[in-house]
Amino acid sequence: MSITTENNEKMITLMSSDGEEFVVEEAVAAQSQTIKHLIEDGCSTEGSIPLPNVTGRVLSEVIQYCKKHSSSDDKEEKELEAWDAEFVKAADDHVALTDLMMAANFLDIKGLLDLVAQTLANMITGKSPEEVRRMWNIKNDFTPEEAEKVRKENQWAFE
Amino acid sequence: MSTDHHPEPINHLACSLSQCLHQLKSATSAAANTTTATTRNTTLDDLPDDVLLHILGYHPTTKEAIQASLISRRWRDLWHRLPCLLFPMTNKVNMGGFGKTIRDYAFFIGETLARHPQESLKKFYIKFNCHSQDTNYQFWPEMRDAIMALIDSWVDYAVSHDAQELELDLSRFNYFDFPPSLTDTKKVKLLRIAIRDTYLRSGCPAFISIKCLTSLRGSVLEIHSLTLKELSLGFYSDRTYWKPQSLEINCPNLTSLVMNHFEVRKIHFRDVSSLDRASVYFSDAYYPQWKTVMKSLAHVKHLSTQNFGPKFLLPKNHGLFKSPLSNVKHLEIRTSYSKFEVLAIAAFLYPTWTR
Repeated sequence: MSITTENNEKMITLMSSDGEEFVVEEAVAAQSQTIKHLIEDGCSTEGSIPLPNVTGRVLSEVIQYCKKHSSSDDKEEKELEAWDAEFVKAADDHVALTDLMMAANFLDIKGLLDLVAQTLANMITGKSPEEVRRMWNIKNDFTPEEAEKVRKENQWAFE
Repeated sequence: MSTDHHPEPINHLACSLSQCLHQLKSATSAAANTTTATTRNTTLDDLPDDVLLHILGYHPTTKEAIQASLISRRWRDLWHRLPCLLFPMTNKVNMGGFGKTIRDYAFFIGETLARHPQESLKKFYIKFNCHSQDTNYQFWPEMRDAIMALIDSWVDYAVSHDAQELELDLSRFNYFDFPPSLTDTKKVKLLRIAIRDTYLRSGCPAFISIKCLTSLRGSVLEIHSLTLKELSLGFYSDRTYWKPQSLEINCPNLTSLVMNHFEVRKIHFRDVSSLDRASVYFSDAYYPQWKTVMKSLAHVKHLSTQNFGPKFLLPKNHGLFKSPLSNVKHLEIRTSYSKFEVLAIAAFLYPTWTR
């Protein structure tokens, strides 16, 4: 399903885990190292590239990011930074960001990975372990004794 | 699942290179998560360890990353593998005063380094920027030496753990000795050192990013920065090294440069087009380097330097030869000539000078 547009831009089709198809320029999709390697290895010639663990909702956000970052050059760095800030703000809640992080990791998009990691780190910082567990639904598997031991072992970091 | 719609591409992918295979393996194992993603919230625990470590690396300090060990068993020892160690000192002075703040800070770093078993580091960051009430406060010499010894030992740790990026923000210092372990390192790819620049009015530290490379041709000190406004280098000589060392400056927005006996045999100014003020002193053995520097400073308006005899001031073919200093409005020369001799020469050659 390799289509070429008027300005000779090669298009490829990405397919999300829930069957949604996205037709994007190859240059945009190739921001993902994973997709880039798949294209280089000739995996895209016969049809769309399936991305079995990225949902359509997340994939559309990722594509939005890749489009912006493939069209801007270095001179627009400030503008791009502002755009990035808006982008993660729009992703809104911590769960959506975790999905985005997972996709950025699987697709291997360094810029997005760094951006979301920074955002998540900002969210975690300053929160108590209980708050972090509650926000991301993490099970507390420490016994009270274990928790006390960890605190003691790392005493110097809790002062 | 996409496999229902397109079974062939999947097969095709699976038999391609190992890269694809690897990706797909993780894809199939993670597929369970995605099928339930619509019904169940993704949690941080769905992310692989290296991604969690990546997030922990973006915590403002390593202290917070260690505190995350209380979240769950999985998080307990995660910090042992932190690729980035970040030790910014807070500006707040502890109860017990300035000395205690510094001791606590050093203690924290010491403890962390002692318990951090990671073999290789990506980034190591020290920000030693403790403020006392008096903004002009300077460390007294004994204390400065003690702190410098500590910093040396931290830098040694970073270098011996193959840190690729090393950032030292020493804004409280106006002088910095290159730790010995740094001058010979091959691993540090990016080195940023911020020292207090006494000429800097805005108060924010000037960041210098220096790439240290040791190659067969000797060490190269590259200073590349788009933002750096003022740069001060001093008291370093490659005279004792068999291999010449070199300095390259590519700072298009640099306005002020001080090179006070910073002496390496190869000097190349790639871009110093905004330079307005320069103060350059070399010892006699570095006359050729001084000459190179002077030629790159043709556009500088305020120059302070010494002269190495009349060679430079008296061009052979006056009238045809455009002096490298023709744009200088203010010139200060340290010389063994008397004031009147120099003024006479200057007045004759360069009538545009104001002084």
